[in-house]
Amino acid sequence: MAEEYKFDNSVELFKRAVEVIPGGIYGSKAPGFVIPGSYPYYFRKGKGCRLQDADGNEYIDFLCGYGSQILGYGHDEVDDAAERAMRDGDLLNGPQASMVELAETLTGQIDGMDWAVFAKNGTDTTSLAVSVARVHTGKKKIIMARGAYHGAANWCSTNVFPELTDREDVLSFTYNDTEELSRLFSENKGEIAAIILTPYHHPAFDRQIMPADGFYSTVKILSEAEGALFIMDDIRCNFRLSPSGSHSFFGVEPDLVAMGKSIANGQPISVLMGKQTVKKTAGSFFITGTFWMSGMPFSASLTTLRIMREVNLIDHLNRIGSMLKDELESLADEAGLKAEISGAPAIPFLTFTDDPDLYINQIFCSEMTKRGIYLHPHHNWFISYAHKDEDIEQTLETAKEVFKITASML
Amino acid sequence: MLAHVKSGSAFQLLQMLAEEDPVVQEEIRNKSFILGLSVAGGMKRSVRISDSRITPLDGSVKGAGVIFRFPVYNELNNLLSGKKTKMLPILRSLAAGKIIAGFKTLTSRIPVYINAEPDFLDKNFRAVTRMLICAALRGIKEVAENDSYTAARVAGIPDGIIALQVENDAGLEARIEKSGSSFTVTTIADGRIPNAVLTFKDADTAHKLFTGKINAVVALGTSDVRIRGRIPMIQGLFPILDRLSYYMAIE
Repeated sequence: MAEEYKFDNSVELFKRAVEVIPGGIYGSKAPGFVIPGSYPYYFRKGKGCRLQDADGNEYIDFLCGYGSQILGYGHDEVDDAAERAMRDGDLLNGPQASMVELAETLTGQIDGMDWAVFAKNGTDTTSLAVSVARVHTGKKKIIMARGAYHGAANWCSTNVFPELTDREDVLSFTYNDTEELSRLFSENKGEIAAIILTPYHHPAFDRQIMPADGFYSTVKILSEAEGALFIMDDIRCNFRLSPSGSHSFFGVEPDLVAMGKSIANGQPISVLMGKQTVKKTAGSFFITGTFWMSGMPFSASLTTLRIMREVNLIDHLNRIGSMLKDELESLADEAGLKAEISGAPAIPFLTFTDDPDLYINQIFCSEMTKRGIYLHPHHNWFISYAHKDEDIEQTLETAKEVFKITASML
Repeated sequence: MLAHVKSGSAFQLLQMLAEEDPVVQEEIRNKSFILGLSVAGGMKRSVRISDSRITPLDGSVKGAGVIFRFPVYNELNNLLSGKKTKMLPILRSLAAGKIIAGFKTLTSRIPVYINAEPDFLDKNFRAVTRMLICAALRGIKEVAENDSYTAARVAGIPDGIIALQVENDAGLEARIEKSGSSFTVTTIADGRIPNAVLTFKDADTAHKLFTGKINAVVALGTSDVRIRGRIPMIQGLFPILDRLSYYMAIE
C-alpha cells in the first residue's frame, strides 16, 4: 500500500494566512469545505489531469480547478495563445480584436444566443443577468431552486445578514417540484422578473438531480405566461454537455445564458449571452472592470473553443466519465457498498445509499485523496480532456482498495 | 438577548454542577424547590431542584417557591454578572429564605469552574471542559432562538443533531438538536446517530477553544478540530458562535 500523504506545508501556510487574511482561505476553497487533515489547502502546479500540492504530493485530479480546466492544466496551445497576448501588452486602453472575434464565435456556436457581454467570473454574469431581467421586465422578484449555487453575490449566496437586503426579492423552490414552482408564480403574479436555473441540479453536499420529464416545459409555460425571463446559469456545466450550450442538450430556449469556468481553460473570463429581444436592455447598463478587457483570456478562449471542436470533446468526456461511473459503482458493490454516481458523465458525483449525511462519502473521498486521487467529498467532480484511459485505470485500482478500507471502517 | 444568554448558560451550568461538583451535590441532597427568574413583560425561566438533580425549565416559573422579578433585562444581567441589582423577590414558600440561600450557594460554584484557578483546573480539567462545551451549546441555543440578527441564518441550518465529541473520550460529548426554530441541548450521547459531528483532538483543545485561547478557524485548518457528516449544519453554527462571543464580551 502506498504511503498516505501528509499536508504539513498546507497547514503551515494556512496558519500564516489566518494572521493576515480573514478566515485564511475563503469560500468554497476553505478547509471546512473539505475534510481538514485529509486534504491539501494549497497547490503548486498542475499539468494535464495531474496536480501537485504545496507538500509535493501528486494527484490525478477530478476537480479540474472547479471545472475550469476542461482541456487540462497547463495546456500548451492555450497557454501559448495567452502568452502571446500577454507579450503584446495584455491590458491596453481598450479591447482588442480578440474580444469581437470571441463574441462572433460564441454567437455562432451557442444555440439561440445573439450577443455576448464579457466579464471575469460566473458571479459577474449571473448577477448581471438578474439585473438585466429586472430592468427588462420592470419587475423585481427572482425564482431559483433551493440549494442551487449561482455565485457569491449577496442576492444568491449564504451571506445572509439583516443589513443586506439583496435576498428579499429572491424566492426558492425545490428543484423539479412543478407544483411548488407553479404556486410561486401564482402567488407572485405580476412581480416575477426571471427564473434562474442551472441546466440540471448540482447542489453541494448532495447527489445531482436531472430535470424530470416535463419540468422544463412547465418552466417555459409559467415564465412565458408571467412575462418573466428564463436565465440559464451554465457556468458549471459549460461545454461538458454540449458544444452549443447546455440548454441545447436539454432542448430548452432561455432568454439569457451565463457561461464561464471552462470557456478559456482556466483563464479568467465569463460571458453573459442573450436573445436579440433583451439586447437593448443589456446595452443600457454601465458595466466594466479594470481587467475585463485583458487580452489573454480572449485569446485563450478562442484557442480553447477551437480545440474543443477539433478533438470532439464531448465524446471523450462522455466515454471517460461513463467508464469511471460504471466501474466505481461496480467496485463499490464488490466491497459490499451501494454507491451511486449522479449527474452527467463529464460531471459525476458519488454518493452512497442510506448515507444522507455523507459520512461514508467523506471516508471514501478522503482515503482516495490521501492516496493520490483527488476526489471532492462535497462538490461534484469534473472530467477533462486530459483524463485518459490510464488515469481512470489507476483511479479504479486505488478505488478498489479504498472501497474495502471504507467498508472496514463502518 | 444578553439576559437570555447569561441566564440560559447559568442554568445549564447549574444542571451540570449537580453532576460534577461535590459541593453542589451536597447542597441539593434531599432538597426540592423551584426558583424562578422573570423580567417584567418578558422572559420567564426557572430551575427545579429535586431528586439530587437540577433541571432548567424554559418559559415558566410555575411552582417556584421564590421568583426573582426584574423590572428590566439589564437588572437580571447585573445579578448574573455578580453586580448590584434591583429586583423584587416574590416569596411563595415558607422556606423562601433557605431557597435563596441555597441558590446563592449553587451559583457561587459557577465561577469556581468557569474561571478556574490553575490548581483547581488541573484536578477538575475534564469536568470544567465538559461544562464549557455545554454552556457554549446552551449559549448557541439562546442566540439561535432569540436573536433577530441571526434569525435568517438560523433558518438556513438544516434540522438534525450535531454532536460535539472529544476524541478517545466517549463520556465527553454534548449535543445540540435543531428542529424548526427550536434548539435542544443534551449533555450526554443518547444513542441516536448525529447528523454532524465536531470532534476535538483532545480535551485540552476543547478547553482552549472555549476559553478563547485558540482560534476556531485555525483549529479547523490544523484538524485539531475535525468535522464530518452534514457539514452545513456545523458551518451554520459558526455565525451563531460569533454572535455568542459578541454577547459574552459585553460587561
